[in-house]
Amino acid sequence: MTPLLLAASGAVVVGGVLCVTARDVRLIVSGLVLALIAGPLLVDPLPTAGPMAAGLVAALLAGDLAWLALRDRPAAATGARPGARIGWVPEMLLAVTAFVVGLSLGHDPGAPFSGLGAGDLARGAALALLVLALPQVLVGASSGRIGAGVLLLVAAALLGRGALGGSPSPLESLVAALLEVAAAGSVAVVLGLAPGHRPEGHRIAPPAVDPPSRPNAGVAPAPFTRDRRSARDTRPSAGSDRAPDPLPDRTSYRRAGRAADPLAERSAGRKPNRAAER
Amino acid sequence: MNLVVFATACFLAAALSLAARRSDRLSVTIGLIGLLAALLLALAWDTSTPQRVAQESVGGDPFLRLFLVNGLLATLLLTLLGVTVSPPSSAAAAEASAATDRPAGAGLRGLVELPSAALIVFGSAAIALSVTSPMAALLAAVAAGFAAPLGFGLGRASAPLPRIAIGALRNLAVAAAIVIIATSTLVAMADPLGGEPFAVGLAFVGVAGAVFLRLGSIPFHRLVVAPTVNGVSLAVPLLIAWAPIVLVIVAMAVLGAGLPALELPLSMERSVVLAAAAISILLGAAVAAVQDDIHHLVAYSVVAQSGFVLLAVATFDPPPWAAARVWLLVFGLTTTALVGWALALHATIGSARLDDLAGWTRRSPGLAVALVAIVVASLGLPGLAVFDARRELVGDALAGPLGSVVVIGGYVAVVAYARLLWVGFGAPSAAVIAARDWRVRRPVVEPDRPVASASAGPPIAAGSNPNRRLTGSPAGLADRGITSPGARSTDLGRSSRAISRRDPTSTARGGRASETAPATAAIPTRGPDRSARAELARIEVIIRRWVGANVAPAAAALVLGLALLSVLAALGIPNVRQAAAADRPVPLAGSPISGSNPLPSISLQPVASP
Repeated sequence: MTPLLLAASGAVVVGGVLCVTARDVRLIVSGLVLALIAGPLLVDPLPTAGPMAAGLVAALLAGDLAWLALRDRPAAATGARPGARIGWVPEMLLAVTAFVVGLSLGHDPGAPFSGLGAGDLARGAALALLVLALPQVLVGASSGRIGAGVLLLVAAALLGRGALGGSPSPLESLVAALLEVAAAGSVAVVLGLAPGHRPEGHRIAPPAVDPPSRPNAGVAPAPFTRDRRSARDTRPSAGSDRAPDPLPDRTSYRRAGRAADPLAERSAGRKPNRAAER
Repeated sequence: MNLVVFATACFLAAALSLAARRSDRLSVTIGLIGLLAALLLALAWDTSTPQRVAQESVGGDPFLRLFLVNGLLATLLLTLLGVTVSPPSSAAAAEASAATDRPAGAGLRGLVELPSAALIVFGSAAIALSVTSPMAALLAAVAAGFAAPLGFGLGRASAPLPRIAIGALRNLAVAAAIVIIATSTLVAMADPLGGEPFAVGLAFVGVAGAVFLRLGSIPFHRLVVAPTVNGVSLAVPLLIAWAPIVLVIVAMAVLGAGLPALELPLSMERSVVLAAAAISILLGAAVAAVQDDIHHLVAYSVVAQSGFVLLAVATFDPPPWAAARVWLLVFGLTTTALVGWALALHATIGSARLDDLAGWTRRSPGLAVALVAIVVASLGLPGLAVFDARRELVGDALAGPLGSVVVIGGYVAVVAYARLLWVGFGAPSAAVIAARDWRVRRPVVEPDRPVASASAGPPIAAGSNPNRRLTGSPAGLADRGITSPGARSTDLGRSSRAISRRDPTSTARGGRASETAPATAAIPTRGPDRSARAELARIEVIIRRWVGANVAPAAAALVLGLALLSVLAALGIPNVRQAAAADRPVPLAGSPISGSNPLPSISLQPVASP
């Protein structure tokens, strides 16, 4: 185990944690790029210059595509609640635990960390990324989180392949770079053009709410009251620097007219207005 | 011609088409030219000569060329079908289409990005089916899958389907992670899982599960059904047929090369996979038979057909290589043809509900012929290559009564198609009466309609085709959600042919029944300032008018082309059987058909049973 391998594995874990917990789009994309760049280095022997350059370009291109998709829509990247659902400290602990478990897999339980090699570090990093990415993919709070989870999951799979199969051939490295770019392009196209996405909810942008109709505009709502929903409005509150949340809710639909709320229509036993839903 | 040229041309054309997305017309034009160029390059590909790329030998086989040519040609026809049934590519028209249940909007949503997605899919497929390294082939197959969601057509503000597209992304990511890890385990058998029968079985189930996910087999059929429910059917063939086919071929090669060497029976794991395949075949066919929407019917029929692919994956000792490749080719073609058929019928009649489609064969006999041809190609008749392939797949995987049940159950899909035809031969519904028939008509410029600019046409009311004058009763049109002040009043019992004859405004130019077409674009006049560009614009307007006035026959002709491709493949023309069973100059991923050196890159060691 060389310092370079150790640093690369640490960079993968830190990048993954940053990607799934950061509030700022720049940090999210930076974490993603960090994980994608450091991942291919976790092999022994190190890849030659050509495949390494291909991996670097692919990681930067993937980060650029993610940045293009999310730079103007920070709310879509972070969802209704900026940051991780369980906080960055638990996420970090989870990732480190998974990393340690991955390191110790296949070793003598009495000396789990003896003779660690590149494959062990890659396995640990892959498990850490898997633990971080899978919840984002399956129950992500926003389209941006889901997209970041998709890319991290692909990176985790490539790391797992390195852990199991050793150093890839140059052709395989090139194809892996192609896979990263294809996944990032697909994610960017889907995310960059999707309106605020809530997996369990609606798929249309909420109607704008007239500020004068909101008597509590700019006032922090009391917790655990119905008015709390008004804080999740499409427009930023007066004097607030927080990014607007594009996720629609029933309150905003109700203000804009009942016909626009497909869930309300369904619960009332009527056929939802497909045109409005679109 | 070689792999590098083909893949570079595909990716370059896709990138150019995507870069030009601000102009739908330009993007689609570049995409169509790219598809045509890729088709010609595939035809010119000499797959018998191995080459060296990135220090490795790569080469194809006759099946690779057959796969690429058929896939590109089918996608080209599907794209043209989308162009035919779609309104002009303006944002306003897209919004108008999206606000209705008209298929025109459905076509447009997936249309602009469809050629780009197809080019990336087939470019990646060429890499996957050419390289020697199993992992490189697998990664290329996974990359092909990630390109398919581009065909959802999210390139504009009116595209409303992020939930489906993100669901597809989730599906692809999970399947990719599973199949990469499982295949790595099988290929490398590294510690700590190496040599463990449980780990090998888990890896086999993982590969099969990833194929399940990608094909949209039951219980993951939402991947297939959801896009069709929301009318993005243009992306479906790429997403659930062409891209997964590449993954299946690579997975079969890896499983067929690796698992027999381990001499593990894996009976329980195989039983699980076979049971899931049988459920997909039986349930898919049964559910398709009770659907009242043609898009749903097509979706569940595809789910049923995908079960046979799973049978091929479950049979690895030895794998039914030739039969599986024949079936995979026919599966891709019939899926594309079925999707195109549903889109064309929806565009012709204006509805996808069976209630509204009563008597549809009278309006679209071409589509009826196409449906029969697709059914024959899909289910097969004795003597056809596809019939033998189905029988061999079932026979190798399932023996005894269960095999017979699956064989018979697979033909339950006939009930769904027979129901469609039965409805089609019934008394015509109001929507069918209001629809246009299959005859080719000459477009006539309506003098009292305002003339608009060629570059930016007016918003299209109710998503209708701009060059299409709606005919039929006001009640029938109202049922279809269309109100047109120019629509002619008719009786429900009269055919539109009789209507056209009696209506003086619809007969012109020699007394032939003609379709009245509003002038949606200005034709440049002849004169001293006439330029080549103006002439091109004039030709384009004329073509657009002709196509707009003949949507139904044009769509039927394209679907007939797709059906013809399917039938030819089912018949085994040209040389499908030989190509499917052919050896490769360079063995693919340890392909079991590669003769003397079947496992060049896989180092699996047999393990003793514990």
